[in-house]
Amino acid sequence: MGALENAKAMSREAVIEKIKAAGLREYGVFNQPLAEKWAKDQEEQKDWQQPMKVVAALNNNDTDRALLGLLDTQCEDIIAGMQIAAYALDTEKLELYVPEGESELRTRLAGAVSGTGIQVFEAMVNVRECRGGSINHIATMAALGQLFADSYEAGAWMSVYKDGACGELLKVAYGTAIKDIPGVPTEDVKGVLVGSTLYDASGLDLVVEADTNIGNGVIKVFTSADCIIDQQEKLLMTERRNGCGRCTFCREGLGQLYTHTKEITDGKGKNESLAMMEEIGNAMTFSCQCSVGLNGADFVLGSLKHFAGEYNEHIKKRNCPANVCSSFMSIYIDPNACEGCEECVDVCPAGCIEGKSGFIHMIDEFDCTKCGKCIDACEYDAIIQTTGRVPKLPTRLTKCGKFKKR
Amino acid sequence: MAVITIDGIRLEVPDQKNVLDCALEAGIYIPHLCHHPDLPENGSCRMCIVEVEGQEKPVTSCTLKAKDGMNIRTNSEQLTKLRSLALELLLSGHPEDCSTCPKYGNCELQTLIQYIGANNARMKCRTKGFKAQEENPLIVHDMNRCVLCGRCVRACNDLRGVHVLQYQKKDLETYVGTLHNKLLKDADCRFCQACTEVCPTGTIRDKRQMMQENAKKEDVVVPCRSACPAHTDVPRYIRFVKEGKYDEAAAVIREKVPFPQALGMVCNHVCELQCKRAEVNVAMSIRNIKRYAAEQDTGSCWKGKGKQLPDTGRKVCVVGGGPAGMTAAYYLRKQGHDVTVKEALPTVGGMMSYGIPAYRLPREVVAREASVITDAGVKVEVNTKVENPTGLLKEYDAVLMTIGAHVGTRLPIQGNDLKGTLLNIDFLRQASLGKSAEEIGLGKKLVVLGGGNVAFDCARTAKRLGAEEIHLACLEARDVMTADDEEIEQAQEEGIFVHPAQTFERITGTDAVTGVDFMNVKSFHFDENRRAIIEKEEGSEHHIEADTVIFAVGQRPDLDESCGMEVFRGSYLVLKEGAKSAVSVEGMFAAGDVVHGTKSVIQAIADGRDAASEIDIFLGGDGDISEKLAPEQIADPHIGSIEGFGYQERKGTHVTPCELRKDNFNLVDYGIREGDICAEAGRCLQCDLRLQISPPRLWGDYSDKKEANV
Repeated sequence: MGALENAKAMSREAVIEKIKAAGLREYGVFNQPLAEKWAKDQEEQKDWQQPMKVVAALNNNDTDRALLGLLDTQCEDIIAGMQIAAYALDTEKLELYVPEGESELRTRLAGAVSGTGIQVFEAMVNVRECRGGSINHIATMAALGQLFADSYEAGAWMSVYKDGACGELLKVAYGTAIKDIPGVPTEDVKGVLVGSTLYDASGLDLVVEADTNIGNGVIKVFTSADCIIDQQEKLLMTERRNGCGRCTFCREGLGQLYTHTKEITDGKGKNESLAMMEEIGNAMTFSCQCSVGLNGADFVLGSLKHFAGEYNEHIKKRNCPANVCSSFMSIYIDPNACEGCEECVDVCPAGCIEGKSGFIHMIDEFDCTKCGKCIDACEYDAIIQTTGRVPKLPTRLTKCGKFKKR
Repeated sequence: MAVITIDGIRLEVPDQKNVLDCALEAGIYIPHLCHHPDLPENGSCRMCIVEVEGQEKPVTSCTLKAKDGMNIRTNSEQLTKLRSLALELLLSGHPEDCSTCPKYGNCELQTLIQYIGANNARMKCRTKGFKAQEENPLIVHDMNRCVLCGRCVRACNDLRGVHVLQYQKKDLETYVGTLHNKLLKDADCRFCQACTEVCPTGTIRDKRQMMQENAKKEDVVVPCRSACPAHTDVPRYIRFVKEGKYDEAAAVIREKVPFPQALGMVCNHVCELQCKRAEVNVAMSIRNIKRYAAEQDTGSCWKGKGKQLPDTGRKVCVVGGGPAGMTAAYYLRKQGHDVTVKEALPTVGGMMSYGIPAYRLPREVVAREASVITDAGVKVEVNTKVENPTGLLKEYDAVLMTIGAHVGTRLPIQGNDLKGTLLNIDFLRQASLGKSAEEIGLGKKLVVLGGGNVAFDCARTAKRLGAEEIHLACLEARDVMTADDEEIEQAQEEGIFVHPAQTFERITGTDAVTGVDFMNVKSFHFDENRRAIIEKEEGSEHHIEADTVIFAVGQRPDLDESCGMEVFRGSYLVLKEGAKSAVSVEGMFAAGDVVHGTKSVIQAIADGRDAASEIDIFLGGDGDISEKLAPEQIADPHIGSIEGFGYQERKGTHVTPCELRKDNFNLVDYGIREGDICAEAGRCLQCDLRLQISPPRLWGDYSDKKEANV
C-alpha cells in the first residue's frame, strides 16, 4: 500500500496523531511542529472564510534553491505528502509552486502530478492569495509522504556552498555539528551562514537539531578572504530583486539596508547607519508577510552583532580588511616596470588607461572601476593593486625608463 | 458577537470582523493607508498596527479578526515608533514637494503625514524616475507618487474583476501598471475609474478636474446626468436597457421628464457632449438608448403609480402648451392643483408640434405623451390665444407664461420684405398645419439663410413640399455650424446645397425675390459685447438665383412692453432676482423660451419642472415634485473584463434611404436597431458605480467627533 492509502485508511485525527508522535516539523524558516502549524492554519482559515488549500513550495526567500532538488529525487513522496496533508486538512485544492525561471521543472512536474489534483505554478507564493490555506515546505511534504510510507528517517537536508554554487543535498542526522558535515571548511573561518542566519566562527559548533532554524539548509562559510559587508551588499541586492514589492518593510526596508551597506563598501559609510540598520532590520522581522521580508534582514542583524569590527574598519579606518571592497584600493602602473606594450590599454573596459607604445601607461583613477582586468593582462607585473600609499607617478607622457623620482 | 476592548473601551462587535473597522466604526481612529473598506486587506503599509494582549509583536488591525475577550491597544511608544518608521520608509521613495502635486489638500497620504508627523529626513531617499503616463483617456498615472498601497490593484481585480492593473517590476522598483505597459485601452480597461477613486495619493488621477468650485462630486463624476438640464439619471436607465428592462428604464426617464419618446427623437443631448466615453473613443448614443426604452415601454412600471396629492383647490393657468407649459402643468396637477392650459394653436406641443417637422417627430408621439398629462387631470383649451395674461389672475391663483418664441427674425438687409421672403417659424407652422407650397408661398428655387437645426428643418421641409433647388447659407464655417452633423449630412443627401461662411449682402429683386448676393467670410467671431465681427474675402461677391428666401436666423416671443410685466430686449420676460420662474407681477410666472430665447425641448422641460416646484411653494405646497417610479436597481460593481471594450464603436441608427424619404413627411430615423441596443448600452462606462465606493476615513473627522463628545 502507498503512503496515501495508508493515511486514508486512518481517521483524520489518527493521521494528525501519527504526525505528532513522529515529531514531524515544518521545514525551513517557519520551523515548528507540523501538527501545531496545521491547527493554526485551520484556525486562520475560519478567520478568513476562504477555502482551505494545501500549498507546497520553497520558502520565498530561498534564492539558493538547493532544496528544489527534492522535487527530482523525492517527487513521489512530496506528491503523496501533499495528498495526505489535503486529506488531513479536508480539502481537495492542492497547489505546488516552483520559483520563477524553473519552467523546465514545472513542465516535468505537470506530467508527474497528473491525476493527483495538484496544480503546478511557476511563481513566488503570493501569501495574500493563500490566506486561509496551509503553506508547507516541499521538504515537509517529502517527510510526510515518507512517514506514511514507513520510510521516514529524521534529519535535515543541507548543502554546503562552495565556489559559487550549492553542493549536493546531504541528509544530516539531528545532533550533528555544522563543522562535522562533510565539505564544511574549518580552516581560517570567521563566519558561518546557515540558511539566513549569520554566525561568527562559533557557528561551526552549532548542532543541527530538529528545532534548529536552518532556513534553506545552505551552509556558507566565510574566511578571512571574504568581506562580510561586501557579502551583505550582494545578498541584499539578490533579495531586493527577489521580493515582490508589496510589503512596505520588505520593499523599502531592503532598499534602505542595501543603500547603507553600499555606502559603507563604497567608503562613504557613516556610524549612524548602524543604528538605523538595526532599527529597520529588527522591525522587518515581524513587519512583513513572507520570508523575503521577515528574514531579509537576518544577515544584517547577524553582521551587526558579530562583525562590528569589520564595520569599524570600513567606516572609521576606511579599510576593507579582506581587501575585497574596491573603493578602498588603488590600482596604479609602476612607472619603473611598465614596458609600454599597450596590452592593458586594450583590455580596460572603462577606457581609463592612457599611453602609447613605448611610453609609460597611466591609469585615470577617477574613471577606474578597479576591476583588475589590466592586472591580469600585464606581462610585466607592472600593475599594482594596493590598499596602502601610491608612490609618485608620472603626470604626462614619459618614455619608458625615463621616469625619475624626485 | 464578540466583546473586545480597544483602548479600554468595551465594544460588542461581530465575530471575525476586522479590528480596524471595529475601531473606526466606534469612533476610535487608527491610522491606515492600504486598508479600504470596500477592498480585501493587503496588510502591507503597517500604519494600522496595534498591540494585542498576549501577543509579543504588534499586528496589523486590518487583518486582525475580532475574538471574544481580545484586549487591544492602539497607542504606545512602540507603536508610535513603528508607525513613524513605516511612514518614513514609504516617504523615502515619494516626492517631497506636496505643493506641486495636483492632489494637494485632498490627499490621504498628506493627512497621514500630518497625523503621524514623520518625514523622510532619516531615510536614504531616491527619485523613482518614472515618466508620468498621460496618454490614456480620463486617467493619469504618475508612478513617482505611488506608495504601493495596492488599493488600485485590488479595486481593479477584486472589486471590479477587470484585471488590468497589476504589480510590475522594473529593475528594482515595483510599480503598478498594465501587463507589458500597454495603454489602458489596449489592456481592455473598462475606464470605471475605481482606481482613481481609491488612490490615496496623487498617483492615479482623473484627467478632468474633480475639485470644481461649487460643483458636487457626483455631478463631476457622472457628467451626463449633471449636464442634462432635467438631470435624468442616464447611467441608471442605460443599465436597465442593457438588461433588457425597458419598462424600468422608461420609468427612470419618466421620473424627470413627461416626454421620453419625443426627447428620444429630438433632444439636443448635451449629455452626449459630456459623456466620458467620448474621451475613450465615441460618446454613448444616449438619446437613442432613451428612445429605444421609450418605444418599448409598456408603462408597467409607472402608469398609475406616480404621485398624486389630494386636490388643493388652487387654480393655475398655463399659457402655452409647449414642453415647458405641459411639463409644469403635469407636475402642478400632481401636486393637487387645478390646472388649465390655454393653447393658441389647434393642438398642444408647441414647437414639438409646429416647429420640428413631422419627419423628425411624428405628431402622434407628441399627442400620445401629452395625453398622459391630460389623463392626469390637466385641462387643455386649444385655439385660445391669451391677449391679457395678467388679467387671468382674476380667475387663477397663479399664471405661468410658457408662450415660447414663435416670431421669426427678419434680418435688416436690403430686400428683406420683398415678395417671396418667409420667416422660419411661420413657414414651419404652415407646413405643420398641412398647407401646400402654393398656400405658403414657397416657390421652386429657395435660399434658406441660417445654419442651425431650424434652418435645416426649413430646407428639408421645403424639399418635401416640392421645392426644386434649395440652398442653405450661413455665416458660420462648416465645423462650427450649430446644426447637428447628422442633420447637415442628411440634408446634403437629399440634394440641399450647403454654403457655410457666407455673408448675406442683399436680397435682389424689385417686386419679388430674384436671388441673394453673398460674399465669402474670411473670419467670424463674436466680440466681448456679443457683436458679430466679420471679415469678408475681397472680390468674393456671388449671387444665387432664387424665388423664395427663408430667414432662419432666430425667433423671439410674441410679446411686448404692453403685456404688463417687465420685459427685456422688447419681448423676453424678466425673472425676479433669485427666482426660478417668478416674474415682476405677483402670481405671474414664466418658463422656457419666453425667458431665455430658443434653447431645447429638454431645457424647456427642466424649466417647466422648476416652475412647477416654485409655483407649488407659492400656492402653499412643499415644492417637492420628485417621484420614484423605477424599481430599486442593484448595480453590480463587479463589471468584469471585456475584450476590446475601449474600441467598441457607437452603434448607428436605422435611417430611411434618401430616395424614400425626401418627398414625404414620414419618419426619417428609426433609431438603434433591436440587435444593436444591448451592445450600445453595454458601451457605457458606468461612471456612477464610482459613487458606490466608500469615502476615505481621515483622522480629521475623528478629532472633530472626539471634541464634540467632550
